Amino acid sequence: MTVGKKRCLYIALALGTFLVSTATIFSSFYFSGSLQRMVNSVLKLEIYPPLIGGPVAHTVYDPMKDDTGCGTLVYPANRQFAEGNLDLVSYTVREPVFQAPWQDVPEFWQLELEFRTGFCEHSDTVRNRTIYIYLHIPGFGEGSLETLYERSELVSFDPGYPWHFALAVTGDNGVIYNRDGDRVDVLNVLYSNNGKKVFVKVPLTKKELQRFYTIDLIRHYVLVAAHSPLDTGGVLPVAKRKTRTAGGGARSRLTPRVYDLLSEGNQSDMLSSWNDSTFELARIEPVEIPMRKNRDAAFVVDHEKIEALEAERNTIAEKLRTEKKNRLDELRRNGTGALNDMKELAQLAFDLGDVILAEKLVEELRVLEPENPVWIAYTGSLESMKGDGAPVVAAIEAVQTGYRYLDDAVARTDGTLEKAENGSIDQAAIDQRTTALMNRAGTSKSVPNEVFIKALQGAHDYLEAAELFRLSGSELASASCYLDAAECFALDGQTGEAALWKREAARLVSDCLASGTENLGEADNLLLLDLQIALMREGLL
Amino acid sequence: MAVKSLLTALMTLLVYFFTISLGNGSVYSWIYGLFLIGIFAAIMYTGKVHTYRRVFQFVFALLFTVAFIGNLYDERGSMAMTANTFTESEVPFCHLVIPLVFIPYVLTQTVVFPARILGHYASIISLLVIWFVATITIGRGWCSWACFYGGIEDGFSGMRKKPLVKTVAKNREIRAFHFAVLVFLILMTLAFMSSIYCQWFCPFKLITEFPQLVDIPTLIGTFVFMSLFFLMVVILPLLTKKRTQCSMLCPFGAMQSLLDKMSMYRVVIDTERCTGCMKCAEVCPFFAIDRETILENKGHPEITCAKCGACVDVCPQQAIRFDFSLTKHFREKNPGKAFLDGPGRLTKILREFIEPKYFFVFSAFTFGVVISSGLAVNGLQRIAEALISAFNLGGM
Repeated sequence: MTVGKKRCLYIALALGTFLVSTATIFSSFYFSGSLQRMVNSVLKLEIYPPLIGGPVAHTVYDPMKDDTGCGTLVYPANRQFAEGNLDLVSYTVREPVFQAPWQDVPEFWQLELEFRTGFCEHSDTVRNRTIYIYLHIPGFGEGSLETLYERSELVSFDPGYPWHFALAVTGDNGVIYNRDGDRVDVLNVLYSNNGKKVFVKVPLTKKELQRFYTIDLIRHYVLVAAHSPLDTGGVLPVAKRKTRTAGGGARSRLTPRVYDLLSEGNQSDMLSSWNDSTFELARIEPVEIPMRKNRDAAFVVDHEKIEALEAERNTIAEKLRTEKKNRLDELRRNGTGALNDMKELAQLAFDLGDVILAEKLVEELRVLEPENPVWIAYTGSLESMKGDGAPVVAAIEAVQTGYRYLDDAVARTDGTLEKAENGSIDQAAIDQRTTALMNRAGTSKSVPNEVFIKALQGAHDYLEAAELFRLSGSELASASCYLDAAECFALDGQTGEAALWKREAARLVSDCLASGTENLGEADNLLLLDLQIALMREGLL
Repeated sequence: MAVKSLLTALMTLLVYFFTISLGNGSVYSWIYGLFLIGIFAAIMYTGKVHTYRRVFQFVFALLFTVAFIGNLYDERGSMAMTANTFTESEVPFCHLVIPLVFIPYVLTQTVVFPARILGHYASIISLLVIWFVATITIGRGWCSWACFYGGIEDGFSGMRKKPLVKTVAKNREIRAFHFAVLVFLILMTLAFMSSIYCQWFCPFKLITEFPQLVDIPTLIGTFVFMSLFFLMVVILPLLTKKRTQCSMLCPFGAMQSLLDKMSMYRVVIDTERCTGCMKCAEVCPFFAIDRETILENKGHPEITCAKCGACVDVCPQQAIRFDFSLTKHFREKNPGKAFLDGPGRLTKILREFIEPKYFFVFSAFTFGVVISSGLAVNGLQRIAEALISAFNLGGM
């Protein structure tokens, strides 16, 4: 090699080193979100289970918004009971662990309960729930069929499955009792996420409890009641009308004082099964939960069915697209230029991805209706979209400009959900709020979370939009929002929360499929197919 | 001159993007951004890499500490790790643990640290990606340019003009001790399936977070980490002018030393120019140069070199310099002279343009900028707000 060639090679290597090193550092930060997901898809990291309470044996997802007990109960009038505080949404049983590092008691069995909401700002303590977990252990001999405290929850147990241990949790205190009602040990109760999640750790240091290490299956009765320090068993009574010292909606003196019961199906049938004439209490059934994770189990994805659904979905999508395109052309040709035509045209242009036309129309509409949050929100989305494919600094600027509009649009519609729940607002105002929320949430889901840190905000926007859709009677749109919220939670690393909302979306879609899809319009049908495909890919349908 | 101006302009752009723009253009992001540009320009135009790098790393470490502790107080109301923190995998992951998680991962496909996997600045995957990029670009240069803990020690080690205790004669043993500590920590982690370094030995718990003091073991743990902090991070660096924690205890530093060959830059010693004055060995904070290094004409510092630039700055013969790892071949085939040495205007321009020192400093400083920006701006804001509020209260 000549000196000239060597010199060229040297220069190339030197410049190459500089460019590659700088570009690697820069891009690894800018694209860290996708890089991290790519790395995780290869490594599939998990935390060593004993560090976090042991491997998950099983999670039972309880339906959301079933915190009405027998179907009619309402929360007490006390301000410390916030909406959803007593609504159990998931119950996780972990395998018992021993020699767990970084724990006060290294031998324990962990149960996790997640509720729909955390404690409200008026609650100065965490003492507004009383949780009873009764455990039936097969082959353990005689058990008890009565509640730990007589006439507290007002339920009876399935005679085939009497309980052998009872866990009583009030606030941050917990005790485990045996079938004779004797106290066995104190539980370690932890709260997180402002009380949304409750961790119950059963210490397995006592000989009587060490048998949990060898049990294969346990039947769980999990009951959630409102807490009262003055009433029997710490359970607040229920009456016909809610007061500060009693829940409302009781249909009889025998109405169970249980707001939520762990059950994968319909709890209200069980909790309504009391008999006033014979003085029989409502009989409840347990949920069977294995104590070991089924390591051979893998969810099965029906690829053929997914392909068929995709084909159907693509046909409908194409048809709808053509219809929208025709309508757009028609409006452009024959439109009167009236406000309503412009609005429809802008919406169509936005839906069809004609960004230039959408921008022009939205700008005009913002001049005509400067206070309308819908056009402000669309402007925000369109501004953010300018960041796609733009140079990095320009992309950041575009997204930040977009958020200024999006935040403004959302701020202008604050308070809509509360008014919608009270029925003191019209549908148009609800639609404005959902449009603002959906635009901001969509942007939050699509921009890199590591740069803008917006995924969590996106998740909460989707959840609020889901609530508004539910109030408007659109369960499918709610399900779609739940799924999007789950994606946002996953982007933020909150996999537990993501799993919860995916389950809820799956539950709504299953309900919709069960009630028949004949009356669905094409747009709803398309949404349903999208949801079905996404959920089937995850093994949730 | 042209290349210095060009690189300074490029760095200004990067700082604008990572610090100012992502900091939403706040006054604090501007202050920190200007500080970064000032430090970089000072390195470029004075050529004093180590001096200004140390200022940067010390300031970053202080601001990081303020921001981290502030965030902990915002989230949990204390620096103590609660039982929830472990149960919910919310212990911030830290690069110091990385060497300890590999073997348990290979054996169990799990990570023996209760941190978040994804989606957080201190998540496991995030730190793994950063570590990998650091390894292939600046190698152990991480310890001198991006390690927020190292800055504290760097600050203390730079406070005295001359060391009270000289260690050059023991450098080799100290290096061996460091690797022995790494092996010990890996074996202990495997034995207990938990990061023993974090539980018992990490001195930086004193300035980040620590387990709640609830029983005798946690009391002993508290005593150990406080003692180690004062001994390894404050007293010994003051006495020796060395980064003793980084060079004797830190598992990450030891691992990076072993992996440094993968990086794109290295430090070389021109054995023909070297007169053996040993000034480099005296100033090296990482025990990476000793008598054998010079006497045996190794042509490079020892494995623990962290590319801090102290030896490059101090060498009276300019015999020590940064170099590209990929061009090692050219050096070996042309011993004793740089490949672009020689007369001619073009050669001179090229020589100035392709100066490994500037390129390395640019890459390493870029790393420092992206790692530091978020938390340093946050720290600056917290300090400024505390001062403003103190001032207002004083005025009342």
